Formats: sequence, C-alpha cells, structure tokens
Amino acid sequence: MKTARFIIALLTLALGASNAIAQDADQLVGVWEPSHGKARVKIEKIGEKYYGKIVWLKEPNDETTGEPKTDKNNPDPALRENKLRGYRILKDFTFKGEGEYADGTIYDPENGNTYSCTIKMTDENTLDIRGYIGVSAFGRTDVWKRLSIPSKK
Amino acid sequence: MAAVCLYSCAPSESGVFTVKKSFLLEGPLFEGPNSGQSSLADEFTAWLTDQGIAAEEVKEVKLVEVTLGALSNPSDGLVTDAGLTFAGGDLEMTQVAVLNPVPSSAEGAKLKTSAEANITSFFGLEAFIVLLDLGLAQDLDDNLEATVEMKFEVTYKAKAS
Repeated sequence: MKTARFIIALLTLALGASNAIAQDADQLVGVWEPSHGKARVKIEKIGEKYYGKIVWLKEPNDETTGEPKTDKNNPDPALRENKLRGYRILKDFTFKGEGEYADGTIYDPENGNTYSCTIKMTDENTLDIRGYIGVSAFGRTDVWKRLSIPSKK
Repeated sequence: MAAVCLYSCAPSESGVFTVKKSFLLEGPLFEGPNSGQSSLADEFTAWLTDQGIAAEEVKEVKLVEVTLGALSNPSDGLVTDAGLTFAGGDLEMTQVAVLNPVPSSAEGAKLKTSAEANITSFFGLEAFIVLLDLGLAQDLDDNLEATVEMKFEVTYKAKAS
C-alpha cells in the first residue's frame, strides 16, 4: 500500500513538472515587436515547435505600386507573391529549457536570406533574438518587446 | 554507392493521390493573416494500401495542384490571399503553394505550387501538419471553414511483373 502511494506521488510530481515545463515554453506565444518598431510578429505553437509570422507592418504598402508589400526577394520565385504581412519569418524553434529556444531560423525579407537563430527570453516581456551564420559567435542580437493585444485570434 | 544506385535507378511508376481536406479557422478572426490546421498522413497511408504500395517503395512525392473549395462564409472578396505549408517532425517548415491575390469568388481558385519545395520526407512521417493561411479582408466573429483539394504525383518503385 505504501509503495502504491509512493508511486502515485512520484507520478503526480512528474506530471506536474511536465506541465510546468510546457507552460514555461508557451510563454513565448504572443505578439512581439523588434527594436526597429517597423513590424510586429505573432509567435504561435504549431505541433511541438514555435513559429512567428508578421501580423503588422508600419509601412504595409509598397512605395512604388501602392499595393501590400510582398516577399519579392524570396529565393523561390513561385513564392514571391506571398504578402509580407502574414509571412512566417521565425521557424522551427524548440524549447531547450531556462527560457531558451533553438534549432530555428529567422528570415530577412529585405534580402531574402535565412539565418540560424536562437531566442532567449530574458524576462516574460523581453526576448533576445540572435541571428547568425555558422556559429552563434558571429551574429547579431536584437531585443524584442512583448505587446499586449485584444483577445481575438 | 552501388546499392544506392541499384535502388534509385530501379524502374519507377507513378500515380496521382488526390485528397480534399477541411480546415477550421477558429473565430473570432482578425482582418489580415489567419491559419487553420489539418493532416493528411492517414489518407496517404490508405491510398498507398489501396494501390498496393509499401511506404518504403515511395521515391518521391510532388504537389502538382492545390484548389480552394467552398468557404463556410461565401462573401465575395473575403479572402485576399492564401498559402499552404507543411510542418512536422524534425523537418523544416516548408511552404508549398501561394495565391495572391485570390479572386473575388475564392471557390475554384488554384494556388501557385512551388517546384522547389521538397516534401517527400513529410510523407515518411507518422503524422505531419498541413497549414492553410488565409488573408481576410475583414474581422469575423465566427469560425471560418475552408476546404482545399490537393493533388500529388507519387513516384514509387515499379512492381515486379
């Protein structure tokens, strides 16, 4: 009887810890603004990974055409008609614990390049986004701030 | 090397796998980009079984056609643009099709498919996610349901005659 109680207690602890880790990981979900303030990115969980798409642009329209900006630098010509608003620039991040997300990429629509990327949540409203080529030492970090938005999806 | 050539150089056959899927975009929805998810691994497995093809005999899967079907809200001009993306396992998320702008009446619109997207590995997974991204012209308080028909060309190792 004592053994059964002990096993149940252990299982309860393990399940609690697993839920806590999932909740910690999901703190990344939300709308974030890069330091330049020209865009807002909504990070969401799809399957077991995290992805971020542009949901707002300070200048949403192309200066010359007056039409919504598109991903004109996409290396895949078939995908250049994607609207930038809605485009996923953060892809495939997995939670590594202690506020860190890795194994992902960040896309720069200004030049069509994709970089390796890590995300460090320094507090619940601040992210250090580090894009790099090859090794993390050769990269650049930008600080993103969380935005509070109305409850619509 | 020789073994690899023996397999990859073996005679191939191909077939067309067509599937229609429903995507639910849960409201309330904002004007702008919104997403719904679905999966089609089960349908693909069933198709392979029907054709008498073993999963390990599949050499390549190519998306050849994507057609938007009916929307639960038939308002003209509701959908401004559309995209289709695959994600799953340890594979990189891959966008496979896009259409911008979507015609005023979205039903029947064909998305432009990417010839460069390599999607074969997704069909080797037990399950993967298909994402439908729709740009909306206005806020919606309700859910929006959309159907999409996808047509794939499947190349597989020829059966011994």
